[in-house]
Amino acid sequence: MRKSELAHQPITVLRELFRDGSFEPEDLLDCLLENIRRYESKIHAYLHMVPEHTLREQARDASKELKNFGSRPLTGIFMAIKDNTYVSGLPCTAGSKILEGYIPLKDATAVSRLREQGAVFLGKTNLDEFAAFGIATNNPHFGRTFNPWNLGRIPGGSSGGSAAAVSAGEAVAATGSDTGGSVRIPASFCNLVGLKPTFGRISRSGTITMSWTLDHFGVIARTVRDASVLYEAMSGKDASDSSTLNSPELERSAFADDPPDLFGIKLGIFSNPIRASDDGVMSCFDESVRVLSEAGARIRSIELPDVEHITPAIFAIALSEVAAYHEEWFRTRREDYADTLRGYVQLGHTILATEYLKAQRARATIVERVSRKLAEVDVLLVPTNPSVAPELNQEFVEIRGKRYPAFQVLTENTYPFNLLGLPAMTIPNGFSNGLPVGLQLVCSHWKEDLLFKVGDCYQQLTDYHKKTPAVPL
Amino acid sequence: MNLDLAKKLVAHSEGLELDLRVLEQNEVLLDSVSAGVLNLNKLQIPHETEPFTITLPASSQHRKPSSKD
Repeated sequence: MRKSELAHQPITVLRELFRDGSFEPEDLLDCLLENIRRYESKIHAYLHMVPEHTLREQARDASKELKNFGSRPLTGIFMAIKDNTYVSGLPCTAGSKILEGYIPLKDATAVSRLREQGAVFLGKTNLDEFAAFGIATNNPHFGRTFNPWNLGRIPGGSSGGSAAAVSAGEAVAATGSDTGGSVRIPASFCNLVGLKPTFGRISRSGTITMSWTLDHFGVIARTVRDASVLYEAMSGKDASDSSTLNSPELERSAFADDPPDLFGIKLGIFSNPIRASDDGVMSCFDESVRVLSEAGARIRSIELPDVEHITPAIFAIALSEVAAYHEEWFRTRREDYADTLRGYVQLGHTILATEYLKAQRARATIVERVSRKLAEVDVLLVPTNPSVAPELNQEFVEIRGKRYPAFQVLTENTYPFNLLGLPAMTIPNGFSNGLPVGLQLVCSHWKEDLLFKVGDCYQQLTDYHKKTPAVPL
Repeated sequence: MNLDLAKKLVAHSEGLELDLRVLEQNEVLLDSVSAGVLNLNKLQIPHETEPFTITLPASSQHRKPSSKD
C-alpha cells in the first residue's frame, strides 16, 4: 500500500498497519494534512483546526505508544468532531453566532471516551446553525460545505462537515448528532456509514442540545466495523445524561472473517414508509435485497403501524423543544439568529403544552406498537433517502413525477427512528447518476449488534464502500 | 395551535416579540401540525400512558396506576 492511500483506510486496517510497523500515525497525519491542504478550500468541511505542531506532537506520542507500550483501540486514529460537541480547548460554536468565541474547558462524555481509547482530534466540523432543521450544511454564519462527490451538490446535514471530511480523506472518522437524520443523511450522500444508536446508548452530555428527547449522538465512518469500534468506545451509562441510565450491558460485536452468510436472519422490507423513493434509489435497494437474500437471509415485507402519526408528533415535539431551549437567547440575542432558525423558534412558541404532551404520549404508544411489530424480524430495510443529494440551491425534489420540498422529502425515511428511539444505520448501497445511495438498516432497541452483523456481511459482499470521490482541484 | 390562536399569542408575546409575518408564511406547516396532533386522538392512547420522557422505558409495558400513587 502507498502512503498516499492511508487517509482512505478504515480504522481496522490502520490498526493492523500500525501494529505490523508498515506505517506510523505520523504517516497517516501527513496524508490527512495533505488532503486538507488540497481539498479544504473546495469543500469547507472544517470550522476550526487544531494547530499543525500540536497534531504532529500527538502523532509522535501515538507512534511512541505503539512502539513502547502496546496500544489502545484508537491509538493514532485522527478524527473530526462536529462543532456542536465539546472538545476541551477548542471553539464550540454549534454553527451559531450566539456561541462564537465559546471555548469549553472539558470534553463531551463521548469525546472523552474516544480520547481515553487513544483517538486524536483534528478539528471541528461545519453544520447547520445549532444543527437544527438543516439538511444542506449551508451555514448562514460560516458558509456552506460542499459534497466531495460533486461540488455542485449538498453534502447532507446537519453533520455535513463531518461526512465531507471523512469522504475527502481529511479525517479517518467523525462524530455527529442526529435529531431527524443528521448523521445518516450526510453519511448516505457522501458514501459512508452513519450510525444513530438506540436513544440512550451514547451520552449527549457536552453536545449542544437541539431537542432533549430526540437528539442522538452518532458516528460517521468508512465501514460498519469502524462504526462498531467507535460505538463501543463511546457507549455506556453517564450520570450527566439521564437518557443513558437505563441502557443495558453492551453486546460486543464479533466479526467473522469466514465467507459471510445470513442464514437464520429475518429481514423485513419496510413496505409503508412515509415517502416512496425514486427509481434510481429503488433500483439500488432492490439489488441490495437480492444480495442479502442470496446470503441466506429470509426476506418479507413488513408494514409498521401508526406511520401517519409520526410526522405531526415529531414536529410538535421538535418545535416545542427548540423553542424552549432557545427561549432566553431568543429574548436577548434575537438578531444573532439567521432567518431560518429564528422562524422555527417562533413556530415552536405556538405549540400548546397540551399538544406537546399529547405528542409525547402518542409517541410512547407508537413506540410500544412499532416495537411489537418490529420484533417479527431482526432488521428492517428502507432506503436512507428517497433521492440522491440535491443540487446546492435546489428547494424541491421530484419523485415519480411529483415535486416535494427538499427538507421534507429527505428526512421522511430517517426521522421516524428518532421519534421511536430505534437504532438505525446507513451503509453505502451503490450509485444513481454517479451519486451515492444509502441503505438504512433498523432494528429493535439495544440490538445494534444485529445492524453490525447484517451491515458487515453486506460490505463483505459488495465494494460500494471502497469507492472514494475524485475531488476536482 | 392554529393561525388565529397564534395571532392572539403574538399580541401577548411581550419580550419574545413573535413576528406575525413568520407565522403567516408558515401557516400550512402550523395548520398541518395542529391538525395532525388533533388527529392523534385516533390512536386511542390508553389513559394510563405517560408521556415519553428523557429515559427510554426499559420495557414496553406501561406502568399502571397503583394504590401507592
